[in-house]
Amino acid sequence: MQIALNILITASALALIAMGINLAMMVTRQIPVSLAAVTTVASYSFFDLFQQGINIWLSGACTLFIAAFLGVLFDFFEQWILGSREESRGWRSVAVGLGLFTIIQAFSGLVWGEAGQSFTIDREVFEIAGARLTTVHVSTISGALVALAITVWFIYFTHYGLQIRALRSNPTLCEVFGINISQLRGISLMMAAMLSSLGIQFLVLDTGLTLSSGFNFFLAGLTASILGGAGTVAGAIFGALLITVVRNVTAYTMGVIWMEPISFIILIAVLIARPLGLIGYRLRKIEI
Amino acid sequence: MDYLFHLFVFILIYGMVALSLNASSGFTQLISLTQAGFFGIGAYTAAILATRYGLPLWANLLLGMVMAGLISLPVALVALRTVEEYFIICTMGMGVILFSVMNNWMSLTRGPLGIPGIPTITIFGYPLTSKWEWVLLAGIFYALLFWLTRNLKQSALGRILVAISEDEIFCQSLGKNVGLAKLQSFMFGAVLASIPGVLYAHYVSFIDPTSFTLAESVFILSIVIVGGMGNLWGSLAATAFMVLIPEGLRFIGLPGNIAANMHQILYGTMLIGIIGLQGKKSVH
Repeated sequence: MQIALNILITASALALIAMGINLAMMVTRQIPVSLAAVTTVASYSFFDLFQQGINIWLSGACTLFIAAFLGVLFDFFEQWILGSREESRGWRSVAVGLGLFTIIQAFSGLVWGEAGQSFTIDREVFEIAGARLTTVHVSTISGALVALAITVWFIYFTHYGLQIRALRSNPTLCEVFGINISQLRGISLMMAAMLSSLGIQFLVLDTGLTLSSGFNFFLAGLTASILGGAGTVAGAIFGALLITVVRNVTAYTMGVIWMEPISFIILIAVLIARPLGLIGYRLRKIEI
Repeated sequence: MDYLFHLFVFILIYGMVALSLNASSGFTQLISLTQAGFFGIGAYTAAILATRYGLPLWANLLLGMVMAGLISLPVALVALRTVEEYFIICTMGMGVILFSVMNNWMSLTRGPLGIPGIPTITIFGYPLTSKWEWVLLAGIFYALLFWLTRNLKQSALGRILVAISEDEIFCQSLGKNVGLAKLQSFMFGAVLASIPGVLYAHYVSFIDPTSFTLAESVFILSIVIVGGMGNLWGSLAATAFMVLIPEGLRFIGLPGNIAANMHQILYGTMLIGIIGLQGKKSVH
């Protein structure tokens, strides 16, 4: 029961990150590596605000706004660097994202130091069928459920959501019919950054944070996103659940140190068999 | 003078790794973030064989190349099925896997403790002890790898690789075996990367996993992008520049942790700056 609950807790937070990545990929049709820079700053901002004595909920809310601002800012910066031509993107987008992340991580090291940090908050412990749960765990599961429900509602039941799905389906036609792509991109990136940031907040509350936390959790979310299938809502949730089960089973049977490599072995194996992921959507020319 | 020779050796070793990345990615524009891992495979193969079994350089080189070639196969298979970003993420994953193996397989690699006491290279019974001898040896290997990579570029395979970077589907429509070309170039690059790894292990005499991280792969990628993808002379100049930056910062007298972060900021800025400049150039 405890293992099942642990899987549910981690999968909930990872699903938020994977959903953020998928949302960004729906409009940019690129892997949004710059989100790793956003999550790095978000995790430290959250910690910093909390250390200043600000209430944990308020710290979290402020961090979401910071993440939203940075998500749009970094995307704007990336677009400015790459130019508007589609053919100048591809690997260059990933390289710019990696460069941005390298700068942000080093800058975070200068500002916040290299040492690991942890959150000292009162955690009430509950017992459910012999398994122990803290208030942080309950917040993670319920917070993730609410955020995922809002995202699904936004994508499937709002006008903007319909336009985002149209953009995912055919960007050229969207442009022809006068859909404001820049505005859609801005809204999606803002939401993507907020979702990823929320996921990271829940995770670092439990595990503490280091300079590499932002990137490691982003990478786990990205693995979940690609495994499930990029650009789909169900793919993000399914991928997060699958990757968390794999990681937990690995930790239980082989040890925690093999969690990361086994996740990537599964990813490589899945991509050899199914290049679009398990519930994939053809965002661009993926399969030859 | 020894210090300058030491820098030359490092420039030549990292220059070889950059050449290997050019061989696997420079011509096809299929970016790989595993190159530090393949470099590490060469280093660890040499370190383990030299310290445990006392094998000579040629045997270490041969086995290092075989190991790197075999391990690159699964990622190369992904390259057959995917393009661009998914492939980059797979190579990133492969880098993480290789680092984890180096860091956690204690009985084989000694994990974070590293492998000390790797003997220097002995050629015809003559051990290389001075720095200038190492410059000479690294220079010879660099010239060999440069020649191999340049020949690859000018070969029939090289022309297919360049064509792939232009338009993969079009290249396939001409009846070219795109998948096989990608597989060959990726494995060739992995095999080449293991050679400087072997030299590096024998030169520094101590290796640990921190020299083969994902950040190192990003550093090598930065060299290739700054030098110009597929531009072999550009890679050499970029390697010299990128290796010498930290040395320049050392003379400013920054504290260790600040200097390390400043290097990262400089590398990241250069990577973005060069891509930005290339983008603007291509638009005009």
